[in-house]
Amino acid sequence: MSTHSNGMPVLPKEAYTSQEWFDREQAEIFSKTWSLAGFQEDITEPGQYISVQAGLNNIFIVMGRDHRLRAFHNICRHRGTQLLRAEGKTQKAITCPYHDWTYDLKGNLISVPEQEKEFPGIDLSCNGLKKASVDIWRGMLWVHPDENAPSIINWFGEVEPYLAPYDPAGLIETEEGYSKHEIKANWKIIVENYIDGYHLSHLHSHTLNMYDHSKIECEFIGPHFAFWEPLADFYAAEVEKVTPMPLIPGIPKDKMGAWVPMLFPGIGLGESENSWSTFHITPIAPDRSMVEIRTRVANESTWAFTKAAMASASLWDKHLGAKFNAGPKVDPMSSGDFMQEDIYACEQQQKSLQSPFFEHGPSSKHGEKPVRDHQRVVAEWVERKP
Amino acid sequence: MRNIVYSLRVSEIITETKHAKTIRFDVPAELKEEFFWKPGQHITIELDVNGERVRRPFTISATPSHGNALQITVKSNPDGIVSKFLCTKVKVGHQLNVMPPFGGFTLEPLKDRQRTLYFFAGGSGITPAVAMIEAALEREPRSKLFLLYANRTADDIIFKEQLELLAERFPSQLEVRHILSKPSLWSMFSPWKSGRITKDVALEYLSECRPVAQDTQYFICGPGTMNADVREALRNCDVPTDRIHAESFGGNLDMPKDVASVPALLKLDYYGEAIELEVAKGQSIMNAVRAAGLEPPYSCQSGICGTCRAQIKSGAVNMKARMALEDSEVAKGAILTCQSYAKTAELSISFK
Repeated sequence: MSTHSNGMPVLPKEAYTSQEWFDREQAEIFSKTWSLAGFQEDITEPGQYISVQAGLNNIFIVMGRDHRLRAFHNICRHRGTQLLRAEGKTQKAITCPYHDWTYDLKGNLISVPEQEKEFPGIDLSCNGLKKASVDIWRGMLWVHPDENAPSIINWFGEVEPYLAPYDPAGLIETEEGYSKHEIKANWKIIVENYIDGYHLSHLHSHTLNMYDHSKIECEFIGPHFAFWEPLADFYAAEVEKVTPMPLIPGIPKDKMGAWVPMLFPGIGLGESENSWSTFHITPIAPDRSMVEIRTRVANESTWAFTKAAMASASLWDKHLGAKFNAGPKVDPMSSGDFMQEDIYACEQQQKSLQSPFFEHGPSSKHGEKPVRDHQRVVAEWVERKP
Repeated sequence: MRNIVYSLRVSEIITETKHAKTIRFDVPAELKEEFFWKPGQHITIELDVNGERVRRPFTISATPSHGNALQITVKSNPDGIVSKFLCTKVKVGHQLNVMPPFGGFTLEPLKDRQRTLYFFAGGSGITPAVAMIEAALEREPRSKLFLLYANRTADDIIFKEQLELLAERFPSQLEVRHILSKPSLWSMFSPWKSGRITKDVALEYLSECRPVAQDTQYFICGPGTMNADVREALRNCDVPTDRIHAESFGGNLDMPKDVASVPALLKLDYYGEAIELEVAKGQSIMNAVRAAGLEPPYSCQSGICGTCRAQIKSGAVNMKARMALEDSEVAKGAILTCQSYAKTAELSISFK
């Protein structure tokens, strides 16, 4: 390895390639933190449920008849079969598909077929579903495998002042803003790409130039990364007129810009002047991750969106474009889409990790400091003694 | 809690409605600590009525901060000797005998939590609710509060303006809805609903006011029938009982009939002092203790306030009413001595 005064990566190459590292992260990080489970509006009626994988735990959230959410480990107390799949609406009870053991919405075991013959003397009350924790924060559903998890405010409270000054629960989800990507890269490579301030004006020189990358304010708040940058001058000057979508109300003029935090572990938010999205990274294998993006926008009429798009089109034609001009089919770098640019960069980096000639290069003093900081947070969590 | 009565000076009297007044007290510096309260607690006022000593609990209707004065808000009840006296006879400058704050129906704000707090209040039941609401708004900035408040007419709404101001100051946190049983046709005030807080109304309210923060707590403070109806509504939709907190206000109590009792020998641990005495059949533990010349704390004598609480060490009692105690506390041996009658011939009880 070369030495460099600006800093070197903290984690070894194996952290991005080995199954052992992957397993440790699943157990020590993803099974011991609050996981993003969805949006608040995903469950609106009693009996409705969703299930999510949170590290090693599959957890389902169901709304009780008191409209309060309850989270349970998705494991039948009999043989361990998963009780609920994906999402849906149950009636008043949850029945295991294997032997029809049935639980009520409070997790109590209420019926066992042929109970007297097959399970004489069984105490149903000792076989209720195992509880997990669930709460709503910033319009999102969160689960924690531990029934007595520290409060979600305890986990996110300190980073709140660094987030956009509006309530995302007041926005509405847009179908156009949904996408899901399987990326051939370790989850940390994607996180590092997300929080790397050094690449913004290079990789995205033609796609994210509506923000002023020279005025970035960012830092780690506990395990979470906070990031803000203002609008570029040309855009800020007449933002009300040229925003491509209606502005989200509540942002003071001098704070207009983008808040792009990366919450630990692997939950990015993109909170801007006109859209709000989640960028949820789920590790699948050492070299594979799933990224799901959901987006909310201001609760305005279709006409307001059409009007904003039309009024701003000529300006954005002038400012946005592709970094290279070979045509998107030949070269992802000519797509003009910053997401494609990032995915390409991440996958190429993961590929190179396989090469015997790969060695870590020096890490930049300012722009890539967050990358090293995130590696330190990861190292701390996997080395944590129980 | 020892049974100590202090003489406090009435510093201010505010007319809230035609029938309700707020009485404020001067608390001398040396008693400040003794008279510090938790939102929801009450003080006991002791009066001498025709040579007989009468005690009644009154909820402190302010939150214990910002140098708020100790205050109670009293609704005059035609049959209530003490409330009538307080509303009609007491003047600024009078001295009243007051026992320090007490009671387990409280809300303690948790700064790093987000909760959804529901309040169902009827009439003077607003007094603990308003103290709790103010405390939570000040110290739980992420919690959401829902108040459903029942009265006869708009003119009977105690703290109407104060609640409006709070809802304006904390628009994203506090939502107040009113329900009136006899709304005036001439009133400009339009309530959420006309009628009473019945089980169905409570269920409708809950389905409209859904929780965001999932740590929900339900505080019920109204007349007995309203409390029973709300409780039934909550149980009906599977609210766990440990999230329901209730205190009874303003009559309509379904008092249970007399309970069975036996004569008993009572071994008392009276604040560390060992005393033995006899309890007659049909005599409450409280009355037996007082008959022996002791002065244990007590107040409402109807099982609501919890002032006379003690711990049972051996033997058993039958309790007439015990609204002031949670089931879990009873399971651990808590009793209300003014409501307790000996069930076993030997008893051991401790006052602390």
